[in-house]
Amino acid sequence: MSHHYIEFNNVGYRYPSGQVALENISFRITHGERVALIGANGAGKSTLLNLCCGILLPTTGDIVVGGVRVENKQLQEIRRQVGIVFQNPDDQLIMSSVEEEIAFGPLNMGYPPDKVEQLVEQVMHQTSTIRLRNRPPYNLSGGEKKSVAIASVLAMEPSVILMDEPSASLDPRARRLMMELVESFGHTILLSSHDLGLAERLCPRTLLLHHGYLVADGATTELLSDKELMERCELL
Amino acid sequence: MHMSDSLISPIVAGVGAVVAVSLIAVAIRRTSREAGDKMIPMMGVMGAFIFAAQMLNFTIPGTGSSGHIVGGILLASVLGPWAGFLVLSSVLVLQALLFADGGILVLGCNIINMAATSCLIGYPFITRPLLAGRRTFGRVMWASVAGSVVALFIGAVGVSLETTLSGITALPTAAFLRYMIPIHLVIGIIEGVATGMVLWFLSWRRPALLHNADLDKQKGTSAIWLTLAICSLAMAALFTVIASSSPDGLEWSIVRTSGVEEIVAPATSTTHRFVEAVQEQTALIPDYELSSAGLIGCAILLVLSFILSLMFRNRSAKANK
Amino acid sequence: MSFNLIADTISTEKTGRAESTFTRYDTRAVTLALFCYLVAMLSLPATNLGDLLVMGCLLMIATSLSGIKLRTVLRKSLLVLPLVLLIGLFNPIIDRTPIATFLGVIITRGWVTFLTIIIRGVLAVSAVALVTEGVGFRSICDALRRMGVPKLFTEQLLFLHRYLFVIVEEAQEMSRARLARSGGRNKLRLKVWATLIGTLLIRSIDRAERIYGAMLARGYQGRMPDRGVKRRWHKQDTLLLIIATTLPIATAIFQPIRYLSAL
Repeated sequence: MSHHYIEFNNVGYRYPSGQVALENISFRITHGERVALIGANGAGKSTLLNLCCGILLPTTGDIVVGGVRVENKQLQEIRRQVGIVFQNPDDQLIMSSVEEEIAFGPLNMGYPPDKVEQLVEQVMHQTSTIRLRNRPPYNLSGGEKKSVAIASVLAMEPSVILMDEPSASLDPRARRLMMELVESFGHTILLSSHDLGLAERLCPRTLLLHHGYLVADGATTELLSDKELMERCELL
Repeated sequence: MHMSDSLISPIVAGVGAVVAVSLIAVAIRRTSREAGDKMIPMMGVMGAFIFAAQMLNFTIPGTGSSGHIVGGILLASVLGPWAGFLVLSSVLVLQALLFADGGILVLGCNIINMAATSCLIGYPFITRPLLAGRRTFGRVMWASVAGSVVALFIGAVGVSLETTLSGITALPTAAFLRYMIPIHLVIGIIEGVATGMVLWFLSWRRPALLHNADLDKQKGTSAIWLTLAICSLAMAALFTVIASSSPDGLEWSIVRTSGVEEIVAPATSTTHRFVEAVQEQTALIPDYELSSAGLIGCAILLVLSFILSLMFRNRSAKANK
Repeated sequence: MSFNLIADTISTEKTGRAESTFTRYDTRAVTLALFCYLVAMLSLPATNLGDLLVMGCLLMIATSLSGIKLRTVLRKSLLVLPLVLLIGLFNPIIDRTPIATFLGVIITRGWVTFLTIIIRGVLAVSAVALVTEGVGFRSICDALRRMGVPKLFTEQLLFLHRYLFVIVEEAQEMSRARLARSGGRNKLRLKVWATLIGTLLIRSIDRAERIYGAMLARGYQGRMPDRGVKRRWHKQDTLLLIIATTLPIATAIFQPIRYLSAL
């Protein structure tokens, strides 16, 4: 049975200050789907992603990701199942060499050294980062950093991959390479992006957020060509 | 002030290293007990922050020159004394290894003079108690300046003692102190003002960031005692300034100590002269420099006595709870 | 300290030091050797210029064996010199006891110790520079940990190193932005500076929280995994340690030049 799905049931999130970030969110993403999450700034995209990986816990409703319910006692399992590629690679790449960086996740999982090594090699091949293996991550180009960040997430063999603004600060070439890389995955992917072109190319389906509500959920091309909808949601 | 390896003897460096390592060991234990490995990224990033902050100069109002902070009191205000101490020590280690800012052997001494004085003495004993009570601009500035001045004063004494006890420099202790203390008092005031302004900004923007942010709910009864103590220290220190700015000043004291006028010395053996010189320098405070001796004695007693008083105050406060 | 110096220093760490022969050895051996050298060199009496020069020769030999340019190694000692000179200059002023004559000129002990102070300074800094260039900061931190320094300390040192340039660059950008509006000044006014530092502090703390969140997301449970060098101690490391420690220590104890010149 496939566990590689994301399910939101009437989810709401309220900040400690009382401000409502998300309200009444329901959707289901199944195995292998690639879904884009779009919306104006402040619509709640980051909050939604943070809820998916357990960084935040829902104040109402429930979330099941990779077969695991998002709640406090399941956090370790959630982190194993859900990989998140952050917007700023500098927030994610902490180690002194690319190889160490990619090994960080598996090592935290407690895998034996040979399994860690095998995973690292495999992932480096997959992301074409072998030639960078001894380089310190902070001296890489934006695109290289992004590849390493993705690699470090892949190494944990997650069921689901979240990406927060994957094309941010990438030059055109790096952006293209990143998209090709993502296309080569079989994982279930939810990515949030302002880059509508990327959403269109990579994701057949799109979730549209506006002021914390899920306003639309459907085929990307349809959604994006609905000018009236785009304008209403401040995306045009 | 970063000391370099060239003016230090391995013995003094060794003692400094032992003290510094012990302090670091305690700091590691305290920090891991309180927050564990969660602090690792925070401390690393804060170290990078303080390094960057040290690089940014500001103009000192009134003069044309620029200054910069070391940031010990700032770090301790945000991370607490022990974590702050670890962070500043790490910055010193990094500076010694990568930027030749201070030597490796003398690292222990530098850690004591700069990190320990501000994070482990200046902040917990002066700045933090003075910050208790209603947090006004004046109070924050006073807490910050007082803490910095005390920290730098002790640091200056430390540098002087460590350098002259090593015996590499020909300058006698008293002269070194007369040179170092006034300068560092001024630097202390500048650092205190600058730090105070940042602390004020933080207490307005993100008060929760300040370690012991609930201090303002505590009573500031020690403030008066501390203020008195610090004022007496300041007056004592002022005497050094006056003494050293007397017309003859440093040159005069050097001429006196080297006895240039009397240099028509008979040629005794080199060993004899060497032993004499060693004796002169290891006598901690040569007796003709009475005023400096008095000042230092007074200062040490003062610092010790109000540290003791604070310890007793805390104990009685706990007993009353 | 200039931004460029920092950029320079950090960028030389990027290539992974393929060019240095020090990488063949266990960094612990290299670190211990450095330490012995420093203690030996600095324990020479202040009047013993001759043996100090022997120490200098030892360092030069080590430099040439390492494959690192002498110029790179000496460069950093220039930074140390001004302050050391300032204090060192008091020696010839105060200490006027003559101890030698050279070509008819009386040389005082003060001048000899002054020279010693300078050379000590240069050698101390250069030795450290040689090792850091030769093995790299990361390697040194790793060696420290394997020699018993607690992980909490070495790990945050590595984090400090990792984020150093990131934050320095951020600080640089912020200050450039403010300076651009300051009308021709090249230093910040105190109030502006304080706001800048305060903002940078807040941003750094927020960044640290995000980093920690990202670490948690990759399964971090509070213990940093054992990283790095899977290197064991080999015979060649013992050999290096023996040679690199015996020479300086012997020089310090026996002081051959002083002994020879007294004959």
